[in-house]
Amino acid sequence: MRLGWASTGLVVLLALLGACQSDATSMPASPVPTSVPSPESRITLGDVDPDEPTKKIKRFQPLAEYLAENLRDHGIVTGNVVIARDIEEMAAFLREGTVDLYFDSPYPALAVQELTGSTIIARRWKGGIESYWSTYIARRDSGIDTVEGFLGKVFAVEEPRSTSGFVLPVGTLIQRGFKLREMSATDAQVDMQDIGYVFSRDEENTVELVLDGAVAGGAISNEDYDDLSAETLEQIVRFDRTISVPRQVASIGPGLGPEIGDAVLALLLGLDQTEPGRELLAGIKDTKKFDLLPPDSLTSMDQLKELMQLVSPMS
Amino acid sequence: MIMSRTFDRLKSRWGLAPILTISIGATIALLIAAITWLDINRERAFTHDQFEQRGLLLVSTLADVMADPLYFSDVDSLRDIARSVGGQPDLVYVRVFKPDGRLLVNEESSEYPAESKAEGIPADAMHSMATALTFIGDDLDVVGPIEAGPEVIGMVQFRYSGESLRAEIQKIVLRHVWQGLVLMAVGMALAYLIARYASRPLHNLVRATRQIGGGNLSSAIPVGGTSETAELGAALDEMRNQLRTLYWGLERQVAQRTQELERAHEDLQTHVVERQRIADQRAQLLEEVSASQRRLRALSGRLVDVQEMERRHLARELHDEIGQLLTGLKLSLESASRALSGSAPQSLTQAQSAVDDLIARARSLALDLRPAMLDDMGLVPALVWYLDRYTSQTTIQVAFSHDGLSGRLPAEIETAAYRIVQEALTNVARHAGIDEAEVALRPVNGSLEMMIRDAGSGFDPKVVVEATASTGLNGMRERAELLGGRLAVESFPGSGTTLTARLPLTTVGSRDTG
Repeated sequence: MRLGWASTGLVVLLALLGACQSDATSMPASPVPTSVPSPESRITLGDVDPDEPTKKIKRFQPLAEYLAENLRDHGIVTGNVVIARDIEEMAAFLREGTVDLYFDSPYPALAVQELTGSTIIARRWKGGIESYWSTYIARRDSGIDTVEGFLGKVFAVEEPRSTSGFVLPVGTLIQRGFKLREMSATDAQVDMQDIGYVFSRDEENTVELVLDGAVAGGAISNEDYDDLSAETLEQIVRFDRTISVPRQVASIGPGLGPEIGDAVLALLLGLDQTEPGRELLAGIKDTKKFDLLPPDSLTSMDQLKELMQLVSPMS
Repeated sequence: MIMSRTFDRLKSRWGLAPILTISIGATIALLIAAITWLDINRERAFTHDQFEQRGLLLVSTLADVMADPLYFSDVDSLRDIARSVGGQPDLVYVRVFKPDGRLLVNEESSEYPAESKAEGIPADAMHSMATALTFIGDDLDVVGPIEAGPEVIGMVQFRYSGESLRAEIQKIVLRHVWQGLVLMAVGMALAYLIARYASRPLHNLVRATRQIGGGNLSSAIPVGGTSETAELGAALDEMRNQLRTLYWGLERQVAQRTQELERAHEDLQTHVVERQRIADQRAQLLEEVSASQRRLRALSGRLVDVQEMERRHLARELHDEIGQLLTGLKLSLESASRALSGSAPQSLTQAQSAVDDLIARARSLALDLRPAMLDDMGLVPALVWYLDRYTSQTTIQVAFSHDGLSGRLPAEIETAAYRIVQEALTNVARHAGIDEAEVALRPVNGSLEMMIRDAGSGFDPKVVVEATASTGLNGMRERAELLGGRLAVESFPGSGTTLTARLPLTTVGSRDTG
């Protein structure tokens, strides 16, 4: 479950200080990062995270410094990290040259690519896995064991910018000919020929909604499914899946020169070859390595693009 | 030196146990006070440290929690966080600054006065962009950087009110003071027990020493306690043994001496009894002698009385009987002479003359024996009559004075006084060889004093008294002493004689009659 930063902070505060306060999730209209990179002498890594930007910064800062240190020949002096609140902001950063190297899952990466002309240069084995997919689940006692069981019902997905939690499951069903409609509530009425879906905001919420019977089923990534407890697994049934897509990809902005781009790619690909490099990889969500996208991944990326096309009018 | 003297004075007045109790108790109390003081300071420092740690923890947490919203300049979220944190009762304010010092969020508690919120962010903290803790009075002002990676994206500042710190320190002080007091009480009790324990062997020794002083040398002295008291006990016990040895030796000597003294005492008692017996015998003899003397004096008195009675009787017989017979005889002779009318024989005439002479002689003898005037008219007229007759018989002129004597005196006094004057003047006539004498009577301090003086040949009274044992002077003295009076004779050969007699007027009638 993802929480807002204020909520997270308050949980920590409550634990530490015994105070209690309601969460605060209001967002300003135009966030402005305090760091202003200099494109000529700095390499800037970027990510999208509206909730915990500073954690991301801490996580990626060593890699940024590593890259900067190894790009001195290209005039790079420092490395830093910039976090965007959403894809649009990240697209702006890439266009402006604020961000040079961007890590994200395939769907936002492709979306940003469409918006900025950025280039996907490598596959990131985030969490040690090369690819992932979405799987459909339902309560074992619901009698639903195919996606057709969702007809006339509502199922839960994570959020609109999620690859495995939205584009893959919803796009796949659309691709299969189902008519999907975003619903405002789990108990909303859905036509029998349609399938309704709601955003749970978190994969754990999705599972909870399924277990509670609030929804007919849900779609979560295979990673999340593997993390479910045995008790939960006894109560749910997995009955279908989507295509596999790369777990995450690295993109470079259009402003980054080809020489530096190649150098960055080389550095990324070589990280798993050295001990310091492996330590850096471990520091960014147990990334096993960066590698070039193999052909099947390129194919799946193309398939994902198609799915994106299918879901975009809805989102 | 002063301490030592004071200690000795207290020790002599109070005894060792109270002194030890006070000393140990005071030491314990001082130690506890020092420990309490140290504990209070340590806990105060610890509380300050905790206060600082709390500040550091909060600033770290705030910096962490505020980093994400600050990164996106989410002022509303920052304010929400500041407001929620500001709900802590002792937080005066929470402020968030941009790195350039611009105030982004300022949440202040309304419970604290404005002056406690006036301080701005410390310039050095802003300059160094580092965490800084500053005590302003008891308030703790904390500033810490909000970081995003290596970059400081802002500063958070808040202030803790020192009230809670003061309250906490006050509680600490109070708790430690109570603990200290309880520990002191326990310490004093412990000191008392220690002092009692330490002084008990001494008390035992003192008791044993008093037993020795009381003469009990048979009970052994307890040898216990510390090495010093044990050594002292052993020394006293050794002394007790020596004393016992000496005591028994002395006891034997005393017993011997006592036996000797008892024997001497018995001898002495025998002697004293004997002496007492002798003394009793002597007293008895003296008493007998005294009784004999009293009887003798009574007899003498009686004799004098009888003599006087006899004299009075004889004088009356001479005057009344013989005188009457002689007067009758004279009248018969005168009648016979007248019947013979001139022719009376010469023998008758001679008889008449002899009768007259007898009458005169009888009258004179009666007066000599006891003049009736003494009984009828008293001492002074009798003496006047006597002195006149004395002068006519001896041609010695007697000057008589009797100042202060009026009325009658007791008969015994008058008789004794008359006889003493009579005897004294008789002696003058016989031995003085002079034709003048002096008689004076006067009352002196309840006595009748008589003085008979002549300027004649005088004599040695001692010689005269020893030579003429019971005559003259002794007779006068005896008469005086029989009436409780006394008689003194002053005379020297060639220098006249003064005889003074004093007869108490009050003792008349109490004469022991044996």
